[in-house]
Amino acid sequence: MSIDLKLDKTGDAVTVSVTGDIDMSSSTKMRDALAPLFQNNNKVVVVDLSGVSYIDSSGIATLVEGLQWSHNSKNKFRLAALSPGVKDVFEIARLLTVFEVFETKEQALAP
Amino acid sequence: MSTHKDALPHSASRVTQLEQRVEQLETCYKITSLINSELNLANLLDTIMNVAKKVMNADACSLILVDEDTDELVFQIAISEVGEKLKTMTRLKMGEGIAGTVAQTGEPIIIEDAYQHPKFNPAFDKQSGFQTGSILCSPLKAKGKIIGVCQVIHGKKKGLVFQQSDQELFLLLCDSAALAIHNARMHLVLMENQRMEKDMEFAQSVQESFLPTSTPQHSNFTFAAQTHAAQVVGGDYYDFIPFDNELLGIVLGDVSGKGVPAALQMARLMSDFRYISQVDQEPAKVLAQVNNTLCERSYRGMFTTAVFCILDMKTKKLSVANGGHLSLLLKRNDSIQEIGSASGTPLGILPNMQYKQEEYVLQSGDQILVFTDGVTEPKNKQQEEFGTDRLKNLFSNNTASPEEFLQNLETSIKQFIGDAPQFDDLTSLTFNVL
Repeated sequence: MSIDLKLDKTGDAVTVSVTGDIDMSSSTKMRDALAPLFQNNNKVVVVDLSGVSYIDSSGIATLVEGLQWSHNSKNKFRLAALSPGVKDVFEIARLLTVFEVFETKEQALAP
Repeated sequence: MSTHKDALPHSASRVTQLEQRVEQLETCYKITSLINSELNLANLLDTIMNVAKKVMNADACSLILVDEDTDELVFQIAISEVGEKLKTMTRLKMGEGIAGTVAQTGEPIIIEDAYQHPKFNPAFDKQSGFQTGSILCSPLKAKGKIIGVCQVIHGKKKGLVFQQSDQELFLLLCDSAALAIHNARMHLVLMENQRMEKDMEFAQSVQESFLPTSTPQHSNFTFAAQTHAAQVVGGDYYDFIPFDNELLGIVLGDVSGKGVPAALQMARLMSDFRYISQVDQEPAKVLAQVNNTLCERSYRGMFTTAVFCILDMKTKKLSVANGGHLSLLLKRNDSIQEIGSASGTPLGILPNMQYKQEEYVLQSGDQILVFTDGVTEPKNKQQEEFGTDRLKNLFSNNTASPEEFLQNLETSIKQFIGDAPQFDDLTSLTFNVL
């Protein structure tokens, strides 16, 4: 499985739009894309998950790692547009309260 | 007479041809038997080369296999006229040189004089001091796929040229060789899988040894617990930690992910809980401390949900703290209550988290059930979940001992999912108050 990643920088925010299933084979690609974003001057990093209908535990772990990076770099890390399937996984893992989750990408980008 | 005289050489030549053909077929049969008896890949490649060189009466030969990762060709063995192996390990691109062309097109080729061929690369001759004359090169095809190329070479000095009849024999040899290489590779994969299985079985027994070998014995309580990993090893864990004054620590959790990474994390976590709870047994403090410890050695976003309880077996007081785990179920007078719901995030995500602690005084006849989501989330073929309602129903109707209840629960889940595979690790722990 492969995912497509699109990076969009607006001011001091950057949005990573993910399309495809995030699993063991594709989560590394997402990790490689996210890692440098916390070293740059991005105040907000948004992951747009509207194009993701499946995420497994390795994908969740990558997002948790993103949250940890944001915590260390004092940036904001936000998730947007979770599909029902993905939201279920977050709920099962009790992670909806851990992440900042927004209904839309635009809401996530709002100051 | 003249006819006879004329016919005799023709007949003799035909007989010679047929004799050669019989000899070739016999050789082929011997080759097939020989190379199919070898399962060690390195030895097999060596055998193929030696046989090819001898049978084709060649001065040199080489065997090149496709590297599927890079789609390049890698020289495995090259034998010169003096039998010296050239450990060149040179790589060729698909379509590069004569061998690369044969690998790309899948068609064999006879070259009368290599130096007249536009794709011939004399670099190997320069390296080895050998002078290539005629080349016969054939693809190695196994299961309809080109896995490499084999070529035999006549030295320029001898002046011999490969013929069509040589190609027929060589193709038979190459077909056998390709199949034997395929089989040897499969054998290697099987052996590796067997070794992995053995390692995993060992890992499973090591992991099982981390879990309590027996449940606590106490006149006021009966305990039972069980865990089943979805794979050979898993990330679910439970433990009973006895303290002074009839206090009992009870921990149950679920490390994110499955398999070996989760199992390794689980092993460390169990010792973390044992170590940290020796200092202070307050459940909320234990969770906060384990959370910080996990965050300090955070690796690749792995985290765990966990419930930590202290059961005072004298006063029957149960103190619970919950880090992102499912609530506990309390059965009292045939009704079920959810208690000890998550008061904080899973452990290992962010440091300095606070957890709340809830306290309950248990009564005689009460039963507590703690479980991982592997109990409620198994799905049947219709994609229906076993679910919390089925679990609560089963629990509220239970009259069996804790151990029998867990067996019944397992049976119910198995019956519910039918042939569907167990997807997640499944762990449950229960105790009742006598």
